[in-house]
Amino acid sequence: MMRVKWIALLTLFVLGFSLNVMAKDDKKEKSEVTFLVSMTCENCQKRIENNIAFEKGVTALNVNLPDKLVTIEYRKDKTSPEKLKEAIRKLGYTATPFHPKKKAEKE
Amino acid sequence: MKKSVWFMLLFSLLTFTVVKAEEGKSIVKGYVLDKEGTPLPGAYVYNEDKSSATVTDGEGYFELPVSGEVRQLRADYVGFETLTYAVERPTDVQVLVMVSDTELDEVVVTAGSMGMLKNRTGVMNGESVTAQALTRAACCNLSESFETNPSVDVAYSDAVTGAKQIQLLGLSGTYVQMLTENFPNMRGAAAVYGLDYIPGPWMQSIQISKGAASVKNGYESVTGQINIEYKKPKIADPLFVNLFASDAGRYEGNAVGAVELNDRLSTALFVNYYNEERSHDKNGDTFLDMPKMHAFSVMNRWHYQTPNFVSQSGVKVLTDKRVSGQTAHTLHGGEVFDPYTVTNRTSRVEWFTKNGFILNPDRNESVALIVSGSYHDQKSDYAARLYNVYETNLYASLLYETDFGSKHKLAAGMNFNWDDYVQRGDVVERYVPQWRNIDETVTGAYAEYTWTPTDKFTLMAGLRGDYSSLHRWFVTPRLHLKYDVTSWLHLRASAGKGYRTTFVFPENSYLLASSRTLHVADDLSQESAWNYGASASFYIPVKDEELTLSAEWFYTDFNNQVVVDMDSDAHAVYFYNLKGRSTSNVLQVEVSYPLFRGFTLLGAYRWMDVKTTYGDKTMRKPLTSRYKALLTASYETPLKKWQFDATVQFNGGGRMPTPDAERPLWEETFPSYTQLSAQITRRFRRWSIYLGGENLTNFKQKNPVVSASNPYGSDFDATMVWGPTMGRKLYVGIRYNIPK
Repeated sequence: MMRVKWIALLTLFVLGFSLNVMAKDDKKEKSEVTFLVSMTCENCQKRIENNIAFEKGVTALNVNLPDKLVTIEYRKDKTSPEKLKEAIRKLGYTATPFHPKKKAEKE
Repeated sequence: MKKSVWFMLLFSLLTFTVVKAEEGKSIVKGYVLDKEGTPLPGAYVYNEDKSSATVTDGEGYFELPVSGEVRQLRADYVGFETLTYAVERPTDVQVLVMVSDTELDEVVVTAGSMGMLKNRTGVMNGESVTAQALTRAACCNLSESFETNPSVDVAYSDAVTGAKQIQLLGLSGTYVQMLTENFPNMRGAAAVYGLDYIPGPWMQSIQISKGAASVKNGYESVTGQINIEYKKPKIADPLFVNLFASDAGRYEGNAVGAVELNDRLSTALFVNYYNEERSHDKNGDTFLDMPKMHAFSVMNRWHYQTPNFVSQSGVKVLTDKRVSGQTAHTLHGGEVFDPYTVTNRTSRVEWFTKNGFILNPDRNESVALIVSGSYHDQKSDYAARLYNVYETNLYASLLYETDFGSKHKLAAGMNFNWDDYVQRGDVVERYVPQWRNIDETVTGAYAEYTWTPTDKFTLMAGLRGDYSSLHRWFVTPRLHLKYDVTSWLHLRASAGKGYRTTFVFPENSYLLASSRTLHVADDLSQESAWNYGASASFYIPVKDEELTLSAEWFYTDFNNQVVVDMDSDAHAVYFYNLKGRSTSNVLQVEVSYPLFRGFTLLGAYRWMDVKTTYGDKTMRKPLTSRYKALLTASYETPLKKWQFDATVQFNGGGRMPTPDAERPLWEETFPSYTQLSAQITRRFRRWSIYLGGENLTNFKQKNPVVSASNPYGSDFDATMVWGPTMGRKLYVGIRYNIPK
């Protein structure tokens, strides 16, 4: 009985990893967008992470709280920067597309 | 000798500190946008006193040079409401969102007022376990929250009652000051089972500080301090529900609900139900491997806040019933004996109120008053030997804090603590003065000074004086230093004294689960010890990531200790004042590194040398591992939808209490053993499910109950426990939350 449970657990582990690998192997065309977002604290960061990760078409997400930047990698066939901006807005934050070049000029 | 070396180290640290007068000039950067995210070029941005002002460029970007601390920014733009923006993280980029004056919205000013009541752990050897980290293991209550923590050990006190003990720096949990919300809690009798009394999902975070702690919370911490913060009504999710089940027949349910009634008043309700009523006796010694438990607890807390007043109050009620021991009658010498059962019923009420007034926000000047109390009613029955204890605690603390310029801080205050124990039962009747009614009142005052000449160096010195109704006057000095040599090397050192009054029976009631006779000296003194510590943390950049390496050393030296001697006689326990030396030497090394994105590896090794004079022999402390090593691996997929955690613990062997010389009933030493735990979590937007296992190596201490076949005989002893009594456990749980 114990052995069965143990095997079930292992299978789940392996399954978890392979699902993740499969997601990465997807060759659909991807793009990346960065938003400047009016977040103020760790709670906002958590909230954006928890919600945007589950938006349709999102494949990777990086929230940089000190710089107030949210970088989203997404599948072009499933979503667009406008939809993603709207998703952030719905969480109660103001977002504006951010272009890294502009920042470089200032520094 | 050791002391002098240590002080030399201290002084060299002090003298090498180059005091550079870096005037607090800094630049606040940010953007000004409208609600739609359109940049507002030419917006006027200035600080509170208008000493500095700037205008945004074509992209709404600004850089505002400021001197000193900046708390608020203001922004003006034609057609928009003047914006008041609270700067919470001054070194970050700020994003100011302005509202057009045609849509007059409320302007919420959130001044950083709560920050003032927070603990200044920076200078101390602090570790924090966050709510996020708490979700990485089964984590149903406080006792299980330290499984992935390299500093704190949790072990069963005996094989019968289910009582658990924390160990910090190799010494028993009574030397750790336990705090909830920064006031002392779980004292005396409550310490024995108290680790089970704080449900994991109720907790916001746990702060562990090793070595001498701040003098603010009293004189008691000898090896360190553990503070638990419950979820706060103002920031907690409106609803959080957690359900848990394990194959051992344990079911647990938790719910936390929070409501913001208006912008000043908020409240939260916490509920926990715990049920583990299945019988386990895998080793067939007729004794249950785990007690059958049934517990219910509920807490309600309130938070009231105005710009210069914060008030928090709460009440917690719990009831806990445990039944353990034998499930069957025993036959011995032709006679039939009733099952040896242990029952323990506890009811407990706790309440607190914390009130802080901000007198002058520019100088961080505030006054706070904390008042807390508890009533603990514990009735135990060790196979018809009764022990009941009724414990009352009342605590009050008045605290004043202020800054003198940017480099000096002062905290001063007074504390009052009253512990009252009423003990009844037929277990022991002759241990005056530790029997029947005993109480202690301690009143004290303290001052703590923090000097921060540069942002690289901090010195914190505290001194307190207390008067105890049992032990008269005593003085507690404590000192902490922190020096950031470079950005990648931080050094810390601490020294301090701690004191404690021993209440023999409430704190050691689990020893009644044996036939050992109890002998308490009638002249027990107050315990006192010096603790010294030093640590170095390295932050080394390796391939774009940061390798964190820390090494620390702690030394505890008792001037007096109430020795719990199970060595002089294998059939007795003696409590007496230390008549030799009692020391603890602990070295710990910890390395953590994110191997690749989302994957973090942490390794830790702790070496412990804990020695006490028992009778006339100085020996290692029994039932304490000589080392502990820990390896944890954690992987989170890029979108944090999946999480995998695994922890391996290597527990070194150690010494058992001296067995009977002529008729040894147990070994002289216990072996090392390994434990493995793992968990998988799958997160969804609103809920998550987790599945895991504890003690996956299925390691068990064989026959933890000595002379289990004859529990009424003189050899019976259930306290010779050094390892797990339960084997592999699998569990599954769900968490559901409605986010704010």
